[in-house]
Amino acid sequence: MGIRDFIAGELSWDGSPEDLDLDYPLLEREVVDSLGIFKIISFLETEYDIEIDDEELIPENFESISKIAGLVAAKTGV
Amino acid sequence: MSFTLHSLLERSADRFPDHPAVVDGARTITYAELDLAATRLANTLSELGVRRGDRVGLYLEKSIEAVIGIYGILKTGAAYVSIDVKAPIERSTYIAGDCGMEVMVSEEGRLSVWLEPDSPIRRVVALDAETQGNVVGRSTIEAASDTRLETGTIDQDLAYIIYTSGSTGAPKGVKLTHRNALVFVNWAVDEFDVGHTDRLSSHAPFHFDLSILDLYAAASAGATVYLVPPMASVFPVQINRFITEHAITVWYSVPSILSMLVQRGKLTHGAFESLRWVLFAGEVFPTKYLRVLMERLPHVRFSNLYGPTETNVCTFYNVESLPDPAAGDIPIGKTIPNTDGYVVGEDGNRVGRGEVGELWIRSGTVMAGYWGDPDRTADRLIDDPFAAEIVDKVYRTGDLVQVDSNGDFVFLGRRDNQIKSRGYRIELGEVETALYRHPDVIECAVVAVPDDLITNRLVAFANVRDGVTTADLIHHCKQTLVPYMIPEHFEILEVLPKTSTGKINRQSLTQSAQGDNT
Repeated sequence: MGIRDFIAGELSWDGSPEDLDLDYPLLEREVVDSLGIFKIISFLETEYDIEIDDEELIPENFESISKIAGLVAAKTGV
Repeated sequence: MSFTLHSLLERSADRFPDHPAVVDGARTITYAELDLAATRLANTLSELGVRRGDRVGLYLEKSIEAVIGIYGILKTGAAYVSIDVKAPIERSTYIAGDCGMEVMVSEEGRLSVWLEPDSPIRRVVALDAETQGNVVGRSTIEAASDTRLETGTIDQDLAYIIYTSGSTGAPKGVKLTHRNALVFVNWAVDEFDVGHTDRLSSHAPFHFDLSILDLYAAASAGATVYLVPPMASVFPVQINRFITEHAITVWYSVPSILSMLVQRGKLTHGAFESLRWVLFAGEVFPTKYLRVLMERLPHVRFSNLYGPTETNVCTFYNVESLPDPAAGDIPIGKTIPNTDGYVVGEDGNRVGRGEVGELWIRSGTVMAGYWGDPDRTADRLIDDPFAAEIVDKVYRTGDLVQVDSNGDFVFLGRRDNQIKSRGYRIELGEVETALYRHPDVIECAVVAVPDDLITNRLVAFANVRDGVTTADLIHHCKQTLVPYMIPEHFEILEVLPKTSTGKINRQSLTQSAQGDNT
């Protein structure tokens, strides 16, 4: 499963996955809340076999799908 | 002696005029400035016809302006009703109509909803907007009189109404007086030794009763309250930074925020040098996280406060030693001073130590009733049968408790379908009613699944007509429910499991929901 499918499927997204733009403001529009962030972290850590540092838990890394993808890319060295 | 909440502010403004009252990010307002701004707003509201006994809405982001709004409304003798700006419009207009408010204090960008022709609101007041049409803005407020109004308000007048989840599908308004809040606030200032130099966090939104302690304990002591930015609740490291940077001395929030801080907040041993007391309320604090928090912060004291919105805080427990990891939940403790707590069995008699019963509370903190709902009020707020010679009311909390060997109350659960999530109380019936309002929902049930971080997660099961998707149901819920009531997960079933008597089998659904997530 990709990041977009996960967010569309597991968080309170009420449109289709295609409508969830890569730059959609997830935090501002409250698609991701306090529990959502924990769900995403656990998904990323399992799916990509990475460990997300507490220091990396900042809005800048989670404000959109592309930012999350950027974080994962940096962690996996891809 | 203060008998009203706004006189706490006025007294501190006279004693500590230049001391910071509220800090919101980079902005600070002193006691004198806050009092003056609130007095001007009160005079503006009064010019618009707001009188003692009225209800005035508050519809803006948590900010210095919102605090000015609260005190401005109180200074007119009216009660404030804070409405969640994240709630759907339908719910907000219901609340405005339900308690008969005609004037709304709001802000630029949130005005249009109240200016619709069918809005119950007659005039909108905004500290940051221009005066035009039905909007009363900055220039008018700044030109208003700076003389404090004489309204004759007494402590038994309503100070605020808090709307909470209602089992029949509509939110219900809990009426609280100045006295209700002050009995609690005066105790808190005393018990937690809140002083002029304290710096209190304000995490809870103003439509949630945890905000009462932050605002008024600070005002009472002439201390400073620091508004926690909303994004900090999503990112625990920011809570860490917030407490450190502002040298917070007293923190008060729901436990879930503290659990997240423990898990992901980069919390080091001996952090938060200035912090002296952590208060939590609203839900059970999982012992395993509380234990870590206490180990990391050995210089800090911890207290568990308990009380539904209807009673403010009515019992408390000071956590003196690290809870045993194997032990159950910490108790909710003993009643605050000048408060009776009865444990009452099914037969209406008080039960003995160790036996389970419903907690009934008699105290100056107990609400004046539910707005416009005498039947519900009569059901929950009854003549005290244990003090028959005195005419006084006792509130039936619906919470099941027992008294342990130390004489502390221990919370065991609810008598009904009310649950807690993120510290908010939710009637499962309200969520189900909302789902049933979708024309294509044939049958549905919402169950609560215990969760480590947020106490409970909601899972909705629905049998729907062809073509309806879970995204449709989420979308529908967003139109009618506040965000914390929207189920975390939706599942569409061909048929809902039934018990032998033909009722929806909630137990089996709860098990299935738990199974899906393990």
